[in-house]
Formats: sequence, structure tokens, C-alpha cells
Amino acid sequence: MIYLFIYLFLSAGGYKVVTGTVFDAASKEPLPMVNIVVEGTERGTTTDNSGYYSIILPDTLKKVKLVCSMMGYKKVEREIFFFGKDYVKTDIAMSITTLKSQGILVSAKRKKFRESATITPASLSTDDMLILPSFQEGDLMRTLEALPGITKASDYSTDIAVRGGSPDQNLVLLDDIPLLKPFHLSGIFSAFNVNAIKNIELHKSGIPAEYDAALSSVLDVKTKGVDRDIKGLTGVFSLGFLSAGATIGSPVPYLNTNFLFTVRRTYIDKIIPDEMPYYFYDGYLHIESDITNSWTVVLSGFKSKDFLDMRDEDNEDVQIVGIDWDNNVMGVNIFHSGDNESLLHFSSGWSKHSFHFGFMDTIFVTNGVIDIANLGMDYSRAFRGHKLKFGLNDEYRPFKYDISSNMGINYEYKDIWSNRAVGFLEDEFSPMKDLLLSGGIALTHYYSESVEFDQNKSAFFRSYRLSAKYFINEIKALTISLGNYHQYEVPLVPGESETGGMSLPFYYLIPLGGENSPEEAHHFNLGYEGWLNESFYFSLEGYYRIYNRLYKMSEDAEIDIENANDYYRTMFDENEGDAYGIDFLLKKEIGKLRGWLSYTFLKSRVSSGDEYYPSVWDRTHNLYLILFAMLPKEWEVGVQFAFSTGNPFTTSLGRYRYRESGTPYDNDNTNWWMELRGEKNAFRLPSYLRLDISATKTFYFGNNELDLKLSLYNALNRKNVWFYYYDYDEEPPVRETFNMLPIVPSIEFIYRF
Amino acid sequence: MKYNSILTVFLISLLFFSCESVTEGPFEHKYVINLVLRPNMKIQKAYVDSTYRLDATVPEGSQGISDAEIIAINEEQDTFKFSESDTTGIYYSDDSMWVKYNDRYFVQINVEGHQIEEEVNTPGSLLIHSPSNGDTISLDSPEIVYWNSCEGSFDDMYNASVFFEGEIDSFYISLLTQDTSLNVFSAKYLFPNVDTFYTLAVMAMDENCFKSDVYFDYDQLDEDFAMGVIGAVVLDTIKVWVTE
Repeated sequence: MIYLFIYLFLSAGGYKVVTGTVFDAASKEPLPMVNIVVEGTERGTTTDNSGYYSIILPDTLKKVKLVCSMMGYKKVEREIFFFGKDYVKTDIAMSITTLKSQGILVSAKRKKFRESATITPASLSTDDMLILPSFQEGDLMRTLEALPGITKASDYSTDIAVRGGSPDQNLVLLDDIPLLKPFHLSGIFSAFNVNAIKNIELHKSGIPAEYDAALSSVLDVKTKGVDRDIKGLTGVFSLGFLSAGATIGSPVPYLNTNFLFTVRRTYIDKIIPDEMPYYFYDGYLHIESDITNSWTVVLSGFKSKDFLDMRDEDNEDVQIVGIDWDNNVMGVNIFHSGDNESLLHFSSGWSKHSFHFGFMDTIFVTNGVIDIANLGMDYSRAFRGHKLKFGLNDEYRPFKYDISSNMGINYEYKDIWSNRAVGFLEDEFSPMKDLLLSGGIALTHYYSESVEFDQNKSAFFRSYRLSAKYFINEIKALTISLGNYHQYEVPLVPGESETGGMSLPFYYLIPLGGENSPEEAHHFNLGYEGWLNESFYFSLEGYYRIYNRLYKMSEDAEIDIENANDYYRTMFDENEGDAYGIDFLLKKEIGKLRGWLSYTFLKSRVSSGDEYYPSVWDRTHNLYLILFAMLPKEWEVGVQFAFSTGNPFTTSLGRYRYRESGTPYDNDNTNWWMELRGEKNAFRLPSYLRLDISATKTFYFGNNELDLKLSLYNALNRKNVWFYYYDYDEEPPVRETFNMLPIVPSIEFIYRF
Repeated sequence: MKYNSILTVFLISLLFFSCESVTEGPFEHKYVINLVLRPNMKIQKAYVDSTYRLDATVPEGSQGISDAEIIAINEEQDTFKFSESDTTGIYYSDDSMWVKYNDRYFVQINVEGHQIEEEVNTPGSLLIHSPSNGDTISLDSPEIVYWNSCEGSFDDMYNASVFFEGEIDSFYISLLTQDTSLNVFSAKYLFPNVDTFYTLAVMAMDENCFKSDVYFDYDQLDEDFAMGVIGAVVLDTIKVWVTE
């Protein structure tokens, strides 16, 4: 009928007409009440309940620009050319504004604040990770370093330390299944593709009792699916300096299902294969299905591979260095919500980390495989004012390592495994107005066996959690929490300072057994959090941690190879440690100018015998200032300023000539200089300072959009010191500096459809 | 409002923890000794050196400290003296062929008024039985190298090294084993040069030398004012001709 009217109208002559439908870019649903004006004229209209619009224009116009606007949606400008026609039909997609999505996130956070007795876990949105200035591309772990309580090893690593604990003390969960190595080889890139992540939570204090496998923190990463209201395919294509990626997802009508598949790969090996014979890829799959109104099944998978194949220039048959590094996770999570007050959850998953390192073909080869099979269930229910949760979890971990040389050395450790069975109970209730209490207890049976080392262990361990939150008013609260934590496996790697802030490709994770009891820590936290007004969230938390038992690889291990039992007994030194500090976060969560200020005061020590020394993660002051600003013309800029006290290091005080004892010649005066080391970690590198800048411009192409992101990492090109070394070509030797990353520009294209 | 002041109190309290003083650590002068008794060597050698500040210039040509007095005494109470060579810091024994296999020696060094003492047990003899000196080895069918079990070797460990081109400053590979055999030539890619000599050495060390060489722990002396190693090594070397 409308079209008939337009036809009759145009037949009368002297007018042009633009019509079409305005709809939501994500859900494809029509949008009513959208204001549409013709730029430079008084003409305009609003869409009807079907999202339909129609504007009559003078016949003399050859082109017009329509400006569409509606609360909660980004303004859209669309230029229309008539090309001699009197009638043009164009549909217009509008995207939800960041402001609106910010509001949703803030609302969810406030709900969590009111309902949990612990301080709200640190969280990051996908937007934060995408817009924040980046090193090559948005990266979860590099964004995390800007949160309070987090310190990092170096620019060359995405390893993070939480409140002074080493990176192995973080339990990283991907859809509830442990991920052993959350980064790619050498650690420069994390394993997390931002486009595959729904949300993350970092528990630094008040960690729930169900997690009792790491001393420092739990990083809970959830992959995302697709909004069920979307019609057809949706996805993202991205192209950066080093990698290209694609994300594709869609709802599926069958059983109310949706899926999202994400893949990313570096491509520099295709451009300069001789100079850079290295690549990595990673992929995520998330399938979510509501099989009934009350049952939901989530299948998730992750695979990453790093591959290095460096060959002799003169002889292609000779492999100088070969590395194959894999991480895999598969998980099934089943949820049953019987009513609004209960939730039954089953989880089952498998995780695997494997590596192969070969030098000169088979001269030196080491392989490792660590599997994790996990099966668990938990049930939570509101009952007479209590929120009860209990669960059972069993985790089986077999380990296989071998080291071989074709010169006759061959060691194989394949009969090492551990099993951890956990039962836990948590309760949260409000004994009086404005007070929330929660408590939890976990009982773990740990069993480990290693035939080669002849070391078994079977024991029960208890852990407890206590938290209280007192609401000063609707939006501010004081919190207190304490608990004890265990860790049952420790990595066999040289001390952090020896690895220089790089992640080694070998990862010999050893289950504790024999006389070695699990590592243990106690946490005490006192916090204050809330909102200063509608926009500003703050949290302030002081903490003190005591480490009763910490194991470090011993420098004096008895490498009596035929007696692996002796080696096992001496491979670790048992130490103690402590850490205390204050985390402060002030975050502006809503508005066109957003960001946060984070400050960390941290002291962290470990013992060596009776002596205590600062751990390599000890940083007295850490300050981050993050700002995002939404500018006109669809520009968004991000600024990150980072400052921290320099890393502790062991300085060199002097030098001496080292001579080998076993040399076959008697005319030997061969020697080389070695350095005398001072007190362990007693010195500080210069303070670390970095400024990163990014600018993102969004272009709209019909219903799709293209983000062009330009970033400058270390925009001031500050020469932050990674470590010192001495140049002995000079006499006396000259101290030289190996710096962290210089200024690194990057460009990234992200196309969404 | 009063609760907001908690923020202020916390922030101000940080000032009390903020200041750190980092002072330069003390440089500690030590004597650095290297005296390794080798039964199969005609003349024994000792180095008496010291530690140096990193910013101090070490005189060219000097290898250490002059005027040290070095003696070794065996179980028969025979005393063997060392005398300083033309090179500062290097000392040679006056007697020849006096260090025996499976023997005990008491070593005493006096340097600038300080006395350093150590008891040394020399391991038993060690001989490579196969291949023989001068043999030809083909990388296509490499031979396993055999030697005898050596009494007194720390942890029953042996260090097998292959020196490229037979020169001491040439590149070498070294492997530890508790076996008395090793197929060192099986990795053909490690030997890019063929139709040339390689030197093969098998060594057994006492504890001091083992920890110094394997762990790079050069502090094997009991005295606080000295470091280095006083120990014993036995070894056998052969030269083999390596072909494709």
C-alpha cells in the first residue's frame, strides 16, 4: 500500500523519495522511533514500529546525507546518490553504543558487589582489550598487567605475577579447565585471542574454596558464543603486522544452539621463511545449546601450536633447532537450572601441554607431555537465607618427559602421575542487615606416584576460606577475607632471574611426592570498595601473604643419573616467603572518557636458608593510568602510562679468572672472566616507564564496520633496562645494557560483519 | 564521607613505606687458586690469582700474584715444591712425574701471609681402550668409545669431550656419563669437517674439580679469603682421523 502511494506520488512529478528500514546491526531486528534527518535541510522523519522510514525530497537534489540517531545506538550517516532516479530504497543498520554496553557491564558489576561477600574480582571487558594501546594486537595478559596487584617479568613476556607470587602460582582456567601455558612460545603473545573471550575474572583474594590448586590467583577465562537473536552469520576478520585471524559464529535453529569459531595465525614465515622459520596458530570453538528450558550444554575447545624449524643454511637436511609446542583444551559444561534458586553444573575436560625441543637433529632432544583429565560437579542453592554450594572434582595428571642424545644418553620418565580429588562446601548468608558472611572448606586427597623417582605420596589436605562484607551504604563496603591455599606441582626451571623474564620452551612440571608436601600459603586481605558516584568505581585492598612452603629448583641437585631417587630428593630447595602490599583501583566506567588509575604497593620476599631476599616480582610502586576517549567522527583514542619500580637484580661486584680443571693439554692458559655476584636481588634496575598510544577509527560499510587501529608501543622510546651485562672486549670491562622493547608501531584492521 | 577518608589515610600511609635506599655492595677481595693434580702429567701447574674490581684494569700479561709459596706433601711425607714461572701468577712443580694415581696429597699455599690448605685424592688410572690413537673413524659407521672404570671418580661420572681440529681453543662438545662407553661420533652433523683429526678426551675428576667444571662452582676452598679449586683429574686422550 505504501509503495502504491509512493508510486502515485512520484507519478505526479517534481519529487524524489528515499525509503528503507532501520534495524539493529547485531540482532537484525527493526528499530522503531529512530530519528532520521536530511543533513542541511529541515526535512526528516522517524521510523515506524516496523523500522520503516520514508522521506520526500525536492526533485533538484542529486545526493543527500541521512543522519540516523537513537539513544543507546551509534549515530549513522549515510550518503545517498540518486543517479537520475526518483526513488531510492536503502536499509540502515545501527550498532549499540559503547555507552550502552558500559551501562550493562556496570549494572552486572553492582549486582555482583551486592551479592558476594568478597571484594569484586578484577575484570576486563573485550572493549578494554581491543581499544587499549597494544603491542601488535589486543592481548588479554598484557591488559591484565595494568590492573593493581599484577607485575610482569619483562616486555618480552606475557607472564604475570599476582601479588608477588611467581607465574606458576596462577591457576588459569579456560571454561573451567586448567590451561597450563597461557601463552605462545617465548611468551611474547598470550594464548588468548580477544575475539574469542566473553569475560575474564581474576581472583586475587577471597578465592573460592573450590579452587585449591594454586597459591596466588585464579584467572577464570570464559569463551564466548553468539547472541541467539542474531540472524545469519556474524564474525570478525582481523589483520595485523604479525598475524591474521577470523572469527565466525551463528545461531543454529536446532536445540536453540549457537557456535563461534575463532582462528589466528602468524604469517611472517610465509614472507621471510629463511629469516623467520617460525609460526604459531591458535583456534577456539564454542558451541552452546539449550537442549531444554532448564538444561544447557556448552562445548568448548582450544588448540594452539608453535613451530620453529631452523635449518643449516649450507645443508637443508640439518635442523639446528626444532621446537614443536602445543596446548590443547577440550571441555564440556552442562548446566541445569531447576528453578531460579538452584543450579547444577557438571564439567568434564581434558587439557594437554606438550613440547619437543631438538638441537642439531638428534644431538639433544627433549620431549614432554602433561595431560590433565578433569571431572567435576557442583550444586548451588538458595536455602533459608543461605547460598549453599558444594561440589566434587577429580583431576588426574600423567606426566611424560624424556631427554636423549644420540651419543648414548637416554633418560625417560613416563610413569609419573598425580591425582587430586576435592570435595568442597561453601555457604554465604547475611546474619544481620548490611553484613554478608561467607565460608568455605575444601578437603583434598592428593596422590602422586613416580616409578622412576621411586617417590609416592598419599595424603589429605584441608583448606578454608572466610570472608565478610559490611555494607556502609548501598554502594560502598568493607571486606575482610582469609584462607589457606595449596599447590601440588611445581615447575623444574632455574630461578626467575636466571631465565631473565623469558618463558623457557621446556616445562618440566613435577608433582610433589615423597617427603615434599604441597606448597602452602595463607592470605589475609582487608578491603574497601564501592562507587564514588555513578561513574567512578574504586577498590582499595591491603593484603599479607605467608608462604609456609615454597619449592625452588636447587642449584645443588645431585645429578646422579642412575639413581633418580637421589636426584628427586635433591632437585628442590624448600623455602619460605611472604608478601604484603596495597592494591588501589579508581575506574571511570561510564562516559565518553573512560579509563582507570591503578596503583600497587608491593613487597615480596623468599627465603634461601635463613636469609630472606626480595623475590624477582618485588616492585615497590606500580602505577598505571589508562584513558579511553570517544571522539567525533568515530574516532576512539587510548593512552596507557605505566610506571614501576625497577626489577630487583643481583649485581656483579667483581670478577675473577675461571679455569677449567679438565683440559687435555698442559700448555693451557685458557681462562675466561666470571663475575662475583653480590647479595641476591639486593639491587634495582632503573624505574620502568612506558607510554603507549592508540587511535581507532571505525568505518561503516552498510551493515558492517571496519576498525583501523594504530598503536605506538613505548611511544617515548624509553630505554627501559631488561638486564646488564659486561663487555670484556674492553679493559676494564664496560657495563652494557640490554633494553626492553623500543618504540613499536603497529597497525591492525578489524572487520566485523 | 568519613569512609572516603579511609582512601586518603591509605594513600598517605604509603609515604611511610615509599623510600628505599640502595647502596653499592662491598667488593670482597679473594685469592683465586687453581691447582689440579694430574698423575699423567710430567710437570704440575698452579695458578695463584685474585679477584678484581670490575672497574679495575688488570695488567696485560699478568696471570695473577707473585711470590706465593706452594708445596704438596704425599703420604710418605715427601714434599714437592712449586716455583714461579716467567708469567706472573703461574707456578710449576720443581719435580717431575711425582703425582701418582690413587694417592693422597696435602697441598699448602702461602700467599701474602695467608695460608690455604686442601687434601687431594687422585683417582685411579683411566685409559681409552677403543678406538686406538690414530685410528680412522667413519661417521657412517661410528665406533663406540670404551674406557676402563676409574676408582675415585666423583659420583662415578666421566666427562667425554671431542675437540675439533685437536686444538685446545677449538670448539668442543662435552658429555657426562656414568657408563664406561659412549658413542660420541654417532652425531655426524656435529662434525662438519671430515678427513681431519679430532681429539677425544675422557676424564674422571675428584669432587672439587667435578663441581667446578660441571656446576661452574668455583668456590671449592674452605677459606673465606680464597676461592677456586684444588683437586685432581685423570684423563686419557687420543687423536682419531675422521672420514665421511
